[in-house]
Amino acid sequence: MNQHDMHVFLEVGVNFFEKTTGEKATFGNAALQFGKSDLLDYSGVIRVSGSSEGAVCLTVPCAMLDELLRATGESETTERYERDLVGEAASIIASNARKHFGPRFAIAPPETFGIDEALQLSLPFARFVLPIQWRGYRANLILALSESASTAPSPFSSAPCLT
Amino acid sequence: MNLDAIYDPTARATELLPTLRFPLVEWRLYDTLARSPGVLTARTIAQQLGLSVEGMQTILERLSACGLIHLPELGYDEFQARSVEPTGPVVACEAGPANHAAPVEEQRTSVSFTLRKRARAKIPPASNEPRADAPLQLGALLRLVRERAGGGSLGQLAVYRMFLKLPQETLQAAGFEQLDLDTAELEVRDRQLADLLREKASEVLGLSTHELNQLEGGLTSN
Repeated sequence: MNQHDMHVFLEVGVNFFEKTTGEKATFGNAALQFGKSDLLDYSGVIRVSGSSEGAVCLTVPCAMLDELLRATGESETTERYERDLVGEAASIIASNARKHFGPRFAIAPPETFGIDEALQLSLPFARFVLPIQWRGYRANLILALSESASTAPSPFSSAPCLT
Repeated sequence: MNLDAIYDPTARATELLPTLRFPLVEWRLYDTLARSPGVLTARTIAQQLGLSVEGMQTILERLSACGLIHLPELGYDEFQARSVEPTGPVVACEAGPANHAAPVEEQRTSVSFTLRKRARAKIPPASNEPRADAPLQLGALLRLVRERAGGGSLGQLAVYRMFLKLPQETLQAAGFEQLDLDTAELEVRDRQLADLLREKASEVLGLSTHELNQLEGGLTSN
């Protein structure tokens, strides 16, 4: 997957906020993280396979999800709604990625994780972490990919591997 | 400032040098100009140093305001005598770091103001590559990759791709934990790791290692 392909995930991720609320989100300073990631309260994870393997993960703090829910006219801000919203965001990212990539990459239906469940999540070692800022809150869009299918661990494994 | 122009060190530059303080990248730019006056356009130097157009403009303005560089006006004879190749290959002077202190006029005599044929014969083969024993300036290499890959988040993703090509064991052994892409400034002294990083950078950019070293040379030859 080249940088233009990867960029699709970034564009869709940041556009989700504008399309949902009418207010633009912005990118913060990107970082590479190796072997660990700062996962926030809820994460929507999309598995990618093909010539690149791994996952794309949108991880969002509760406070930001609550603000997003309010911005969309939703008065309920319970755990269920928060999880549903991060799942919906991940679904939109996945759906747009499928349209863009066609058969080149397999984009699996997203799964959602709370911070406590994230121990189940095992991501490839090198990760691109891009903060998305909206109304003073910060989510992270994480690309955790591996170039060679043979060396890519499954994004889901029984071994706790968050750090 | 015109990026397609060829700026020269001023006659006063040598006298001014000890009195000035600039960030590293600005000295690198000045040094590149002083090493091969009359040869490279500002745009070519910007590409070598991995600088954006805006960044290059700002630095040129600063160096010019301090009296270090200027856009020379030449008579026709001087123009004919100069070995100017605005879009040609990168050419570096043979002199090493000691050349920094050499008077500007002396450099002009030996490089810029020689007749074209003679100048070509005297200039050594392009040797802008970083010294083999010099540590890799990782921040400079990453800036180069980012700029050459289009800058912005595309450039950052190109850096990510570069690291994806490195074996996990190598990254772990090197102790990489987090790299902030806008501020990373590390020296890599491990020769093997430095070579590997350069190799992966050249793969991502679609350049040969030699071409990458040529571009990188301006960044690390200080």
